[in-house]
Amino acid sequence: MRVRGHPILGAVAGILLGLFVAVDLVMWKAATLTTPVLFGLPAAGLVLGLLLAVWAPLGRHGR
Amino acid sequence: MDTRRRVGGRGLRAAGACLVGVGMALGALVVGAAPAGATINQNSLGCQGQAVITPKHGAPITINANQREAHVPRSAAAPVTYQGSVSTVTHNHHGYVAVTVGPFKIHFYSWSSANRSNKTSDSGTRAYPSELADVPPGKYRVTGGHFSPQGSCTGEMTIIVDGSPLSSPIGIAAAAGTVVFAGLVLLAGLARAGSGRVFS
Repeated sequence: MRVRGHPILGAVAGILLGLFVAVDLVMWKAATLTTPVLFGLPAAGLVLGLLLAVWAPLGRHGR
Repeated sequence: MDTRRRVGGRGLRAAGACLVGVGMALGALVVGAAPAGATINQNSLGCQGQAVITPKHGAPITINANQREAHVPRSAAAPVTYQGSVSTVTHNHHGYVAVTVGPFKIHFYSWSSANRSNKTSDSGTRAYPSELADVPPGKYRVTGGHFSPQGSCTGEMTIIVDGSPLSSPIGIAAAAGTVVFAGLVLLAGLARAGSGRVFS
């Protein structure tokens, strides 16, 4: 599989983004810190980060 | 910080009425009749109760054990008044109130008693827990239960700690972290020069 972006950065940043979004949701009173929120969002962040790294849609022009 | 507290001694805890402390608000969920839509999952003891919190600004807040959701301030102007009862005398009972964080339950209030005086109700006042001042505003799932050989009651309630998310360091850090890591995720999607690396 061709990876054009930065998969490690995408994975780590995606997990942490998911964790911070989970905390944000709790603090903005949009959700409670239940298991799906606590584990689902970091997992979704991981997938998002990896997909973006594989796809690498940004900065392709002129390269 | 260990906020777990243990109530000892006086018999009324027997009644399970003793959901005091933060429990007045949070604990009230443990003692409560169970009308339709109530948060009491199981109530073989006929538990019921309520607590009144006096916030620094605004009218007093009454929280009944059968509420699904309750707003609580981070601090109060006066001690909390509480009352609770069970329809069956319990002995050698114990109970807890805990906040749910993911798959974990963090017990922050617990009690146990032999209830040799056969009490079935309790009431009084208790200082508003100072720990709440350090709790970031937000929505929290709280569960609790009162257990004895004669039966038990359990329940849950959503507690909303009032206040702006950006009024606490954790809220500010969470917002900043979201922005930073969203940026890094975008950066991960930036094609590298001569990209064509193969991962197997």
